[in-house]
Amino acid sequence: MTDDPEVWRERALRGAVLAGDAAAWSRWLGEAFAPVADYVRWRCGGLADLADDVVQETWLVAARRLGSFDPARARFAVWVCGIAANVIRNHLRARTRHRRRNRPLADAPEPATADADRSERVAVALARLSDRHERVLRAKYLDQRSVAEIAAEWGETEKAVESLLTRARQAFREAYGGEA
Amino acid sequence: MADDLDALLGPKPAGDDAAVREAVLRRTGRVIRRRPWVRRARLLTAAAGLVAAGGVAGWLAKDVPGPVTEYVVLPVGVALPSSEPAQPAPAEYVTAEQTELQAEQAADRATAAALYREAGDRYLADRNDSPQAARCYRLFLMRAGPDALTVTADDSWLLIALKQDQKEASREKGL
Repeated sequence: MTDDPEVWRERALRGAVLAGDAAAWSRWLGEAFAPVADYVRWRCGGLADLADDVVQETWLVAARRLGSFDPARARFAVWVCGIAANVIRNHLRARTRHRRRNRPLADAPEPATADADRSERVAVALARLSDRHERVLRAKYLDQRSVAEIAAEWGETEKAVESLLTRARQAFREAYGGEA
Repeated sequence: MADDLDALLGPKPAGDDAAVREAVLRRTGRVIRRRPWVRRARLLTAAAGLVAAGGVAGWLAKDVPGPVTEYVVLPVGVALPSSEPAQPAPAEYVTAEQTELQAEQAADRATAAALYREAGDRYLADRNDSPQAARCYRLFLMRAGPDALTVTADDSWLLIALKQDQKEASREKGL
C-alpha cells in the first residue's frame, strides 16, 4: 500500500468522478489539461488541426475508460498521455491511408505547405519510435530536462541516459529521414 | 545545450487552449454525469436478462404435455342403495304384566307355560321384582310338567332355585 498523498488524492478524485461528480472531473481535467495538450502538440509535430482532434478524442476516451485508471501505477496526466499516444497513431494511420487513396496528379501543386509537411514527418517519426526512445526524447526536448535530472528521476546513471539519448536521436533521424 | 533536433523536437507553441478545453469539458462532462445512470441501466438490464433466462430455462425444462384426453360426462341411471340399511321395525315392547295376561288368556298349556316363563324373566330382569317373577315361574312349572324341571343354560338363578325346590318336593312325596 502506498503512502504517496498524491495517489490517495487521485483515488478520491477517481471515486468522485466515477460516482458522477462533474465538479471533481472539471477540477481534475483542469489540472491535467495543459501537460496533456503540450504532449499532444509535441507528438503531432505542431500540427494544430491534428492536435485539436487528438486532444478532444483523448479526453473522451479517458472519461469513458476512467474505471481502468489505477493511481498507484501512474499519475493521471501520464495515463491520459498514454491514451493520447494511441489516438495519435490511429489518426496518423488514417491520414496516411487517406493520402494514398487521394494521390495528387504528378503535375498538380502540393496543397500542403513545407511546414505542415515537416510537422507531419516529425509526428510519424515519433510514432515509429519505441516507448523508451520516445520517453527520453520527450524528457529532453519537451520537458527541457537535463541529462542529470532525467538520470536522477529514472534512477539511472547519467552515462546510461546519455547513451539512451544518443540511440533515441539516431532512431528518430532514421525514422524522420525514412519518412522524407 | 542546443542540438540539431531542437528545431524539430522542441516544445510547440500553444494554440487557443481555452476554447479546446471548454469543448472537451462540455463533451466529457456529459459522459461523466451519465455514467451512474448508465451503470444502473446496465445492472438493471443484466438483472432483467437473468430473470428472462431463468424463465426460458424453466419453460424449456417443463414437461412436454401429452395428448389431451377429453372426458365427456354422460348421465347414467344407477339405482343407489339407501343411505342407511333397512332396519327391522322395532318390536313392540311387551311388559311383564302384558305377557302374564297373554299367558292367562292362552288357549293351550304349552303356550301358557312359555308365556309364564317369559313373564317371570321380565319381572326379574326389567324390574328386579323377584316375588312376581317367582309366582310366574311357579305357574310355568305347573303347566310345563316334570320335563321342565331340567336346568338349562338360559335359566335365571331364581328359576334354577325353584326347579331344585320342586325336584326335592317331588322326591319327598315319592318317598
